[in-house]
Amino acid sequence: MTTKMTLKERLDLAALDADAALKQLLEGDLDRNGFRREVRAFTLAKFFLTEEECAQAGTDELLELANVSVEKMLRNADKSVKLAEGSTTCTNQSSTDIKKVLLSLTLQRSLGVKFTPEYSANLETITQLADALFDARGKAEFAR
Amino acid sequence: MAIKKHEDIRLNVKPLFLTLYHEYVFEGPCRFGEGMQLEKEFDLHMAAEKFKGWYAQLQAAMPADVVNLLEPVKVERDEQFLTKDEMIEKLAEGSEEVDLYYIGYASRPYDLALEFAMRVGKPCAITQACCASAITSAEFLSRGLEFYPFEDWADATEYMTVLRARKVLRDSKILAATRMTSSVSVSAPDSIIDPEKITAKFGTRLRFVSAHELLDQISYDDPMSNHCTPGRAGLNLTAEDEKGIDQLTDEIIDGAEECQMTREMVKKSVEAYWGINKFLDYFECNCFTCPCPDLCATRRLNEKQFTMCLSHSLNNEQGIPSACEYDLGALVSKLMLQAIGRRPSYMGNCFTSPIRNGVRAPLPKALFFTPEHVDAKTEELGDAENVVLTFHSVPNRRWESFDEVYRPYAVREFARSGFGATFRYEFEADKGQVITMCRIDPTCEKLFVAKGTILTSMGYGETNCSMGVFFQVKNSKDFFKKQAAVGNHMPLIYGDFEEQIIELGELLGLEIVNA
Repeated sequence: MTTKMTLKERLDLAALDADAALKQLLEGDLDRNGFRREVRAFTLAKFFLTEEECAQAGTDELLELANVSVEKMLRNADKSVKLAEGSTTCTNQSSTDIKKVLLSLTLQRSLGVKFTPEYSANLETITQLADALFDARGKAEFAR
Repeated sequence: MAIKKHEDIRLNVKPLFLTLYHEYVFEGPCRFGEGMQLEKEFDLHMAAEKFKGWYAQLQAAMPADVVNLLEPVKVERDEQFLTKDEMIEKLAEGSEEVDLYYIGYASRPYDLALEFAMRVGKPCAITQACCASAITSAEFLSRGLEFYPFEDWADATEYMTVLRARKVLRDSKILAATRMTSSVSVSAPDSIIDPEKITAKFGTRLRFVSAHELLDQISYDDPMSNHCTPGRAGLNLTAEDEKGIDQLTDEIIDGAEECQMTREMVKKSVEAYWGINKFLDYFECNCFTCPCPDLCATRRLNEKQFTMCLSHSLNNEQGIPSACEYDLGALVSKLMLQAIGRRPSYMGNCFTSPIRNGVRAPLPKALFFTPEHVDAKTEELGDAENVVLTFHSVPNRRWESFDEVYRPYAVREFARSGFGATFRYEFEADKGQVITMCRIDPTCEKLFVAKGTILTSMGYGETNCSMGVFFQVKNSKDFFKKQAAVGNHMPLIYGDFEEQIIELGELLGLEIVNA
């Protein structure tokens, strides 16, 4: 008899995938395409999405994928994990904005890169985010 | 050209985005999370995302033909909630150009928005956002500040047209050619009693000119020898003007389905239009009115062999509201309709055609309409109820925009002797078309608004002041009773703009009389 994994268990597995992708980004000698691939893997892991789900969504846009992620989490909600990453202030912020910002800042901090808020907001797709991070590494003006 | 066209006027809207960020890491009643989410960098990135999404919605909601969206201004403030002078100064830069500030927030700097608005005294707006919009609207409105909350972006889009129309009225100047008085004419004493109220209520200014000086200078005579202004250079027509006049005359005749007049007589009416526009340009005006019967009685129009009809039609087609009979009430109403509808307006004598005991009240068979034509139209109308007729002699050749291709028209004379070019238009081609009409009352306090649906024409094949449109309204008895207090001439435009005209009237402080 197979036991269905709880949402927490599935999220924990996804977190391992994210860690693996981040390790590649930090230590791997990646060209641009390789970098893009690992940023994509990291993003999908963080958003708890599969490639098939992305293809079905038909988009590379971070906010739209974040929305798909939120919907998936709500559909799969069980009592194994507290869902909300939190509306962190009583200020009408959207869950999708929070997901995108957390993703971007996590990658920026991990890679020692610092983008302005406006520059970050204009990185709308996984590819744009990956390219911006790839190009910013080692540049003084983007150093954290 | 110094004629400031209304179509070029835009509402200057400045996006104003205010952010609260947290300098320190802590949780509390209005702030909770863990790790990175409690840091300043996270707050600022969230604000940037919020601004991007909000600004994209604002841009999509502000149509370029209504709004000039200015560069956004942003201010950030930390959780000390301290408003510094430099914040207000930054927000206020360029405020003299701004017609409306559109507010967006990341978090809760509501007091900052209020202090700014109280300082600059300009209208502000917001689209519904949980907590923020109701807090802001109540704090502004309770302090007597002009503020517009919108439930949805689509509501904002629609209302920008109304705010722009108010600006159009403020930016308008009427060239009022006078003969007997500068308030009401002999033929339109139901017009606005005190023209100064037009300026006081709407900001529309008036420039008065003697109709005799105007008539003197609609001529090719020596500009230094005009009768009313001897020795002063006038705006008389020149040889250069005549080239344009000839061209326009030929265009009008060649473009007509029928032209019943001689070229010479059409040209005289075009000369009147040209001369009037020279005065509009010189006086920097973009609206026009002139008395008709008052001026007719001087016999000078007969001598000059033109009436004002063609001038009014051509002006309206070009986006210059132009009204007959020195009816300032009709003129301001046309200005409102054209500012909202962005299309030419018509005006005419307006009366209902009721059916009582199965018999339609007789249409006037004297003065304007031939008995044969009246009989034919009465039969055509049959037993249609709630019918109203508006007729004059100033139809347009375009009805849905100021650059629409001209629709089919005819040219016929006003006077039986053959002068006074008028356009004729077959309104039956637009049967079923919804029209919106409005008229300001003589006290300049009420605005009559109604809608109708076109049935048929009156007077296409006739001459004189007989070009009319029959339309159906909700209830002609109600229409009649409500029209009784506002006056005879009823300006109208094609299209359903009733709601926006009502909103404009309310914005201008007018009591709405809706039939």
